[in-house]
Amino acid sequence: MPFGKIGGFFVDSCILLPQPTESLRHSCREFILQHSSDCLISSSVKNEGLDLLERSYSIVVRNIKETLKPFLENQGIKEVTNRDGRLFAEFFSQRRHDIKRRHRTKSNVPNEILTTIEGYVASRLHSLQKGLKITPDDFLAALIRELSKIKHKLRLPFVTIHHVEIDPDNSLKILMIGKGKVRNINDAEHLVSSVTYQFQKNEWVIFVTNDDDHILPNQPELSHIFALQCSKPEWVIDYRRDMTRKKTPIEYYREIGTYSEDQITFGKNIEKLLATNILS
Amino acid sequence: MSLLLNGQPHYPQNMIHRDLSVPTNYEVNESFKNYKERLAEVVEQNLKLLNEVPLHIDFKKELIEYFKADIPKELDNDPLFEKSVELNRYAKDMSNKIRQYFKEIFKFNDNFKKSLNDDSLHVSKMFINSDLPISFLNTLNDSYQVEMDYIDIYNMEIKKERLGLIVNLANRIKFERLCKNHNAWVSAFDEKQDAMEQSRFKLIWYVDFNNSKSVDEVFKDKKLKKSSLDTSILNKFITNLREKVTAMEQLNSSLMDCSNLFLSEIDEGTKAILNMTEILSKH
Repeated sequence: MPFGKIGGFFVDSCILLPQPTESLRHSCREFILQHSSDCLISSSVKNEGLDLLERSYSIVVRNIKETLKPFLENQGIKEVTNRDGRLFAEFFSQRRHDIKRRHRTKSNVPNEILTTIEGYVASRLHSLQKGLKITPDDFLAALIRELSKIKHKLRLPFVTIHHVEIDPDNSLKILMIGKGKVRNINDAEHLVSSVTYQFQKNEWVIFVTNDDDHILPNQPELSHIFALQCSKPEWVIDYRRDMTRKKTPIEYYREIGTYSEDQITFGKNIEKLLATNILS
Repeated sequence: MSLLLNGQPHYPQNMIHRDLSVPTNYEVNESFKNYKERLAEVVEQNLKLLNEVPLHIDFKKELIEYFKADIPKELDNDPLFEKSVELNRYAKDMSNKIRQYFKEIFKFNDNFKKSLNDDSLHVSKMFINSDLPISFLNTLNDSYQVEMDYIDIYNMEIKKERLGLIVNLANRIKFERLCKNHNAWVSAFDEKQDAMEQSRFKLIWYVDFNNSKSVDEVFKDKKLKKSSLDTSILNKFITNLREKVTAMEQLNSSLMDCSNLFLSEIDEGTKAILNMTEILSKH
């Protein structure tokens, strides 16, 4: 009887981006350090992560260049010190007022963005050495350089971990959203990529994530229909141990015998996609 | 974390191609170029590079003269260039100068990284005083970052190689083999680094020179306008540099230490970008 092999751990972008709490950061870091050679990222996770970082960085940089710089110029500011907080506070207050006037919708996004930038600019202004006077250009350029460096550091896991090019199949995506109950389209793409790889290679994979909103609560459906295991980084080794005792993914699916309607739909889709028989 | 080094912004002197990649290649025992020869070589390299930059200016002749006269002066006052020539001498005579090489190389690389960091500040300043696309800033700053990653990789790898070289100093065959192995991996990186640097200079020069009214304005702070440039040439230079950055990044990732991939602390800048990613992914 052929036993299943582990083909790798597909990691979600939330594992690769620093987590807000120390304990979560620690578990992700430990996981990657111990299993880096077995980790994989799908093209959908890679593109999503890199795109998100690029857009986030660009929003902050554009705000610094297109609004803060003209404001400082209009005020005739020649030097910036760590005691100029009130001037910057005025800028953000004016911007908030502009946003209120221009965006009459209920969306709070422009305000959330502005609050994030305000927090960052305030912290950097207060970090200037006491008594130091620098030109506004030097101050703003230093902010941009620092952000460029940070963005680069955050990108590194996405470009370093082995990446698998998979174009997630549309009908599987629809099934993932409808029957797998994964309502977020990006997450559905990541999961479909992992499932496709699993049946293509006929090796088990584990999708590693901390997503308690869209992915982990749907584990019963993901197992039942797609034969996909998801896990938080802390429990991956436990699932891996169990999976190596199972047969290969194709054998496993063939041996289910009595299929639900959703399993038949999934099986037929995979058979069509990979030209492999997985339903008995 | 202080925002500016020593509290004072440091202005770049190295808007010219200095070819600092040379000290990475080891030779067991070979004659080396002296300082004057290297200087002449660098001037030539810069003039050749200048020739590849489309210029719509009427002071091209003066610019060439400026290059010929000012590059030697700049390099004469550039401690990093002087050190690179010295290290090159050690690298070319590894069997006799190994201790000097390893004594100096790490400090040199630290200073090289500082100089790239200064260049990144300068480019950020160019960007905020321009109407150039954000891809100009992104691509240039990414190129400095991947070059700094390579320096870290280089330091990490030669720390591993150092002991083997010292232990086998008396065994010429083994020593030669170690040098050969070193040069084999390093040459792939140097080739990519050099190509990336050249693309970077071409892009900066194209923007700076075509926005200068005379040779006196070259490399000085000024407003940079897209209207002084040909957008298709600008985009071509940016795309070209992006390709080089991606190639270097891919090569770096093959030797990147996994423990360096994750930030152990979340500072204010990281917090800002992460908050932003959260806002964008929620909406």
